Amino acid sequence: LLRALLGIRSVVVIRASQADGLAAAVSDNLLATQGTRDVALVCVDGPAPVPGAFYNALTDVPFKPDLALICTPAAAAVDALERAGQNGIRIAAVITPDPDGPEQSTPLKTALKDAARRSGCRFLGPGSVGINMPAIGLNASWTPTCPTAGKLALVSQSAMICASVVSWAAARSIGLSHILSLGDEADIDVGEALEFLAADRRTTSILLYLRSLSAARTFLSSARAAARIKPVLALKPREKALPVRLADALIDRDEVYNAVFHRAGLLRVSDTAEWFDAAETLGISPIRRGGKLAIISNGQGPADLACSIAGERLAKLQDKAAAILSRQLPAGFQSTNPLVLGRNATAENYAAALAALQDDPEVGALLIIYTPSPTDSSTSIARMVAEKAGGSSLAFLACWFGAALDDVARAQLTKSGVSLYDTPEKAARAFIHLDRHRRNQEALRQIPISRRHQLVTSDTEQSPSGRAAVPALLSSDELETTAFLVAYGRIWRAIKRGRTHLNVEESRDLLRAFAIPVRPFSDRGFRELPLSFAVVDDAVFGRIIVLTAAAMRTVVLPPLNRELTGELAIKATAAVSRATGIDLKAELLQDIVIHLADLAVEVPEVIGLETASVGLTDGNLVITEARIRVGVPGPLRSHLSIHPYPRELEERVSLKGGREMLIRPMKLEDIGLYHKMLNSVPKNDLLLRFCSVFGDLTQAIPTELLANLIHFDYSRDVTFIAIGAGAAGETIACGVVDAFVSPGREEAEYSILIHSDLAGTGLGKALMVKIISYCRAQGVGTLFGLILRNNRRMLGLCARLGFATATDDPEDDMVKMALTL
Amino acid sequence: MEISDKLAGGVTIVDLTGRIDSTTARSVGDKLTSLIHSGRTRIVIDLARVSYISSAGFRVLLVAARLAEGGNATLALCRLSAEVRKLFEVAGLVDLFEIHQSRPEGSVP
Repeated sequence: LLRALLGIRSVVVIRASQADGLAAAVSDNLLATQGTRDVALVCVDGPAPVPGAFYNALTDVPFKPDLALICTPAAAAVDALERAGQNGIRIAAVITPDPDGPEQSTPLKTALKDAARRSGCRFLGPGSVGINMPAIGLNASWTPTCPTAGKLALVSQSAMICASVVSWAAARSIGLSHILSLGDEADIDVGEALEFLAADRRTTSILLYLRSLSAARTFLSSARAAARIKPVLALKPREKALPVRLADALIDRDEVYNAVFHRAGLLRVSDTAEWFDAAETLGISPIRRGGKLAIISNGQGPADLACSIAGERLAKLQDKAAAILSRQLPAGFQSTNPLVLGRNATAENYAAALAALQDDPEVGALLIIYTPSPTDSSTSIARMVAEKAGGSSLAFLACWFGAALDDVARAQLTKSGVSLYDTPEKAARAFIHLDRHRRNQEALRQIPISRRHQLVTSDTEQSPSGRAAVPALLSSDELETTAFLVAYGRIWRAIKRGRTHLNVEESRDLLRAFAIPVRPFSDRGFRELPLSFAVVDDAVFGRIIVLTAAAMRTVVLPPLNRELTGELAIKATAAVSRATGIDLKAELLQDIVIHLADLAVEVPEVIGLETASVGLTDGNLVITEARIRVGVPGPLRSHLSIHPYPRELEERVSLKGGREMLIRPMKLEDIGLYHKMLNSVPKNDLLLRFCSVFGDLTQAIPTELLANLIHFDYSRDVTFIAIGAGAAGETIACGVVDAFVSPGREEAEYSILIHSDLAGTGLGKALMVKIISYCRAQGVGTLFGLILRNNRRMLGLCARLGFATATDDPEDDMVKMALTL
Repeated sequence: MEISDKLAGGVTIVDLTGRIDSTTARSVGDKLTSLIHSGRTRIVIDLARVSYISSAGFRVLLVAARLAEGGNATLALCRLSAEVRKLFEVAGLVDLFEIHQSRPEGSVP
């Protein structure tokens, strides 16, 4: 929807005849940046003050506006929005503030939402600044400045932050692409804004200002999709909302937000200046490999300033690099990090240091600091650094601290991908941003699959309660163990009896069903550790996992896997070791955290869980007891903010000729395979699938568009991909089918693409059957597709699957075929 | 999963065919919820053609039964297949439902 703004040709301002400050500013700004666009001002309360662009009613305007800016008094805003929709306007910004404040259930917001639904006009606001889009030279807002066009976009829940940042950026000649002020988010929310900016090719980084979130899942889904494509930098003040209660402790909501941002792939910054610095760093120099920072400087003081910021992210040089350095550096210099070469350091000394550090496995980034020196080697060092950086896998950062650098050398550094900073502290902070961004991106790529699904289903162990073992009931493709079913049934028996907590035996059985080791406190040799695990229900983000190790607390979101828990386990075991002197294996701790997350995902009846004591028995990390709170769950998966990968939808199919395919929900990591597939299919096939979505099909398909066409929010829509083996045995994508489901699930529109080499093998039918059964299971009313009239193969397949022709206008290239599910 | 319902003598019979698992539970739950909200006071679910039920399936039945209780309606099950009955027994959920051997009189499967 918001993408339509990019091609905006006409705008109408709806306001009172005697405009207040807001309406006057919006009108003036719009007229000043009107360009070739049509602009009309409509007065809702009487004759226009002057003739010309002023009209007394929307119906008098001689063109159909693409966008409405509503700046009327609050009492007239609902009517203005409704009339805008009735006149064919599909998007509006309600600039009028809500007199009852930001709460969602106010009379004005309720009425605006109803009017939008009735008239089909979506809106930003109320209380929006408007829409300021330097990328297309349009200021349809009350902010007085239209900054120069740039590659940074701003989306903000605060109108005043929007206004301030626009002026702040303009004063520093920082260009912006789009400024979207969400106001009170009664309709278009931060998720939709992020989806628009993710797909916009003029935007390379997104600045996000958040006050608070209410729709956790849609936010996480959109943020994760956007952060895959471009850096999203979040600035969020501490929230005043009530902290989350955990036993006697309180969890600051900020700890929860940190966990959310980490899983969403967003980089959180602490102030406005850092926001822009980080955006610049991430836009210029994506980190190319993991690792820590090594610093090379000709002065100790500047190096120390950078070290104090980098802290534990400083690399400890390996013996090999240290040995090389000790041979090559002038006598008297230590082969340690930071590497201080002295005030007389030459380009050759810097080059030798760079060569030695290049292959050190601990090092992921190099910071070159040069301060004014008697040798005046500024230019030669800069040129050498640019040369080395060009072919390196390391990230290069540089700081010419108070030293002159000519424009040619500066341009060479920039061209080689070296990020240049004016102080050592800024450069070190930039590395921290790069490193955190890389970690967040790694977290973003993880799609945990419940490990309970991987457990062997033959369940012959003795029941923990001493009853005879129940023979396995489930065949290998069925997923739930007998132990789990027993434990699950006991939860509901407790709920039915009105109990809010499981008893000791029920709790232990449930933990054991998730492979969490439980032993009695009285076990001989049990040694208690300062560790505790908890599942807590957060009002916005649903179930969260809290790990406390020697008073160090970490919050993480389920679902989890080994990659997502590696760093947390290392830090927690180190804290335990410091407190007790006991070396605990990180894997043991990871196992429990991951299994607890599985429990939180799969048993929404568990509202809270707190371990009583955790310790070691015979080298195993065990829980003696857990207090588990239970209750009737809400709608399916509503207890989670990240929907787990729906493994149950995976399916193997055999095609004609015996070729095997795996059809499964698409994952983020499949984008590369999909992209390759699209670039290899004949253009005619692409036309049949996408019609004109990609525009010029002779050009490479932009990743932004592609990522926007794929669904990764498994709670909302789904894209299935068929994976098979290529000619050389490599993994390739052979076909894709997806469905856009309407919000009320009345209908869904499918689209399908298979490589024409596979026509006639049955893959098309297999994918169609998959999407039909998926939509049927989701309770969708009708599944339909728009098929090009000359795509006879698809028309025939749909007819064989029971689709009927819904609309068939001989003048139209498309035929609509629908299947009632 | 195929779902259909019919009203016979004041009793709503819901016929389910297939597996009730995490893929299909949502549509079963939605159907039961809409029937209860529409004022049906006596609902019987025929499980004769259900081959498997997972915890997600138990969940929607248990939540719907609770919703029915709160709305002065009743929700019962009938004709459990041997496989499904075994799963109810393992989970210890048999006595949490009203379960009948046969369909209500006058309703043809």
